Amino acid sequence: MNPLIEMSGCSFAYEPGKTVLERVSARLAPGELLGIVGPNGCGKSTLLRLLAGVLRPISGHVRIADKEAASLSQLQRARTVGFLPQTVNPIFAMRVLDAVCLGRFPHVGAFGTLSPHDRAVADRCLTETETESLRDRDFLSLSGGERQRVLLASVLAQEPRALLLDEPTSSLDVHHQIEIFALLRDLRSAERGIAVVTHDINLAGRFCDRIVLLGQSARGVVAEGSPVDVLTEPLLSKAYGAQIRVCQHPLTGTPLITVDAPAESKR
Amino acid sequence: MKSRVMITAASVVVCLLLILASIAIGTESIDLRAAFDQWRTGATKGNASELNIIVNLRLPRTLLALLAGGGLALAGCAFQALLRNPLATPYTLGIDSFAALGAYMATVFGAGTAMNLAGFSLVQVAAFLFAAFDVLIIYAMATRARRMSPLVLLLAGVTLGLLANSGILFLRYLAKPEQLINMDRWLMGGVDLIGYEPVLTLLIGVTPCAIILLMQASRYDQLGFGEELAAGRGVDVRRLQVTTFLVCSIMTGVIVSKVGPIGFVGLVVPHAVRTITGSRHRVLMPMSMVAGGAFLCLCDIIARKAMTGETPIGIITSIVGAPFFLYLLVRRRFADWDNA
Repeated sequence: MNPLIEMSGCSFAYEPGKTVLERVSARLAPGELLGIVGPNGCGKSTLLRLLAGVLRPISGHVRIADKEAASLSQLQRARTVGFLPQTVNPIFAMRVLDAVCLGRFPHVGAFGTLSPHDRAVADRCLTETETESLRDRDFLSLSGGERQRVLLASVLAQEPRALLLDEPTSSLDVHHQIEIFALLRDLRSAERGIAVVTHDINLAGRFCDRIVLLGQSARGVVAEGSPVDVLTEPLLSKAYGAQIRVCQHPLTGTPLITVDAPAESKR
Repeated sequence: MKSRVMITAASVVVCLLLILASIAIGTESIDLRAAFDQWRTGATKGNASELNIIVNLRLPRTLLALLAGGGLALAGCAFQALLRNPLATPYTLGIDSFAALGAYMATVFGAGTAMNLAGFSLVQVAAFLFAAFDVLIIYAMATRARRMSPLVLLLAGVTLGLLANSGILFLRYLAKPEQLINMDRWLMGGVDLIGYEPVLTLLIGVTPCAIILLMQASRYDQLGFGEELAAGRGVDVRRLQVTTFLVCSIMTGVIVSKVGPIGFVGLVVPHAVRTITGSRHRVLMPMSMVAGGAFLCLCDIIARKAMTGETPIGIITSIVGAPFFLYLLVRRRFADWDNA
């Protein structure tokens, strides 16, 4: 199956001379939940933004649905790729339903007039994320977990084939984190692929079909493959530059990662 | 939802009544019915004083207030959405102060120059150019390769405004006493211009700018959730910035050069309207225009009636606007903007 997004030999730097990613290749296929993991500052978010097409690589190519990303207009791209950044801070009070309808932007005309079809899509996205009961609430009054689900619904309302999420669980309780990942697992389909950046390797190992592991000093991908192949002690230790221990989760059987703490200092 | 539509409709009616009142009320109170009879019977201008005052004095003045107030409120609305900050207005970005600096310079250094460039005097041309210069500096900062946060841009605007104010003080120090009177009067703003020429200038300057800004409404909605999410949804954020800065500076420059710096309209009106219409810009922006125009009409009525003779309108907008804004702050907490 052709990948939804294919990135080959891409380099990127926010400032000249400070390369974040160097000749990195990655892809997202339909039907998969892809986890992008790695230490802080290794370029996970940058990789996701390149895949999303909101950043342009300095060199290399990104192809979105078999078309060169640079040749697509921003609206064309947004109809194929949905991107949820890590920080979303709304400044206006807004009804949840209206916030979800904002996701229809790439499909509606300049004046943002919604057709019955657009409203139906928004309703369906609320159902998919189990947020129907919130539809008339004010977005700003929602809890962190509820917000994240509604934001997910608003990005789904773009009807993207590729869904890219940056740390969707970073500020959530344990059970809300699991709920979001379980939801993402359900949302991937034969047409839809999902990529998620997370610093929680355990969650990624438990829910993702494939893992891309980035390294601090590697400026790119250390390893890529199924969770059991990638989440191993040598590969993780190389990526994080620390002694990482991996065992098997007693309940789920998936890789469970932990790090030896430094010896207690005697003061 | 229904009640919101009703309140919006009621507000529009109130605005229309205010516009009508600004035609009827003035130094001379006018019997609108008498004027209407004169118009209907086709009385000649010589013996139709009511009609004469309305057509030649009141109507252009009201139209001027409508266009200036509407334009300033719309520019405030656009800047608040673009910079994601409740304090962003043409005034706080220093546009008015720079226009005033330009006007003062023209008065001090260009004294006696009788210039008329397409209906603009030297003072007005200088005001426009300085307003444009201010926006150009902020815009240059906004489009540097390394992105600057909206808050930094706003601070830059405030700093430029303070700089311009020092420049004004320096010019006052240099100016002759008789120039000071004219300069100070200009600084207080006024829509007491006579005839249709300034109305036409504003109509030509404001209309296309307003249309362009109104067409960005759905993009400003997207910015409400952050620049990155908006970019992901296909909003060309950079282009929206360019458009907004360019169009707002032209519009504000034209307005300020004709009627002087009028503060508070761009700040108060969008916030007040937002409490009624909600934050969808498709409704908020046109409503802000109507309300901004009506607000300036109201201030102009007060300016005409408050004392014998006229009070400068810039003073009235602040006296009316500031307490009202404080009331909004206390009532509505502005919690929405906390995490901006």
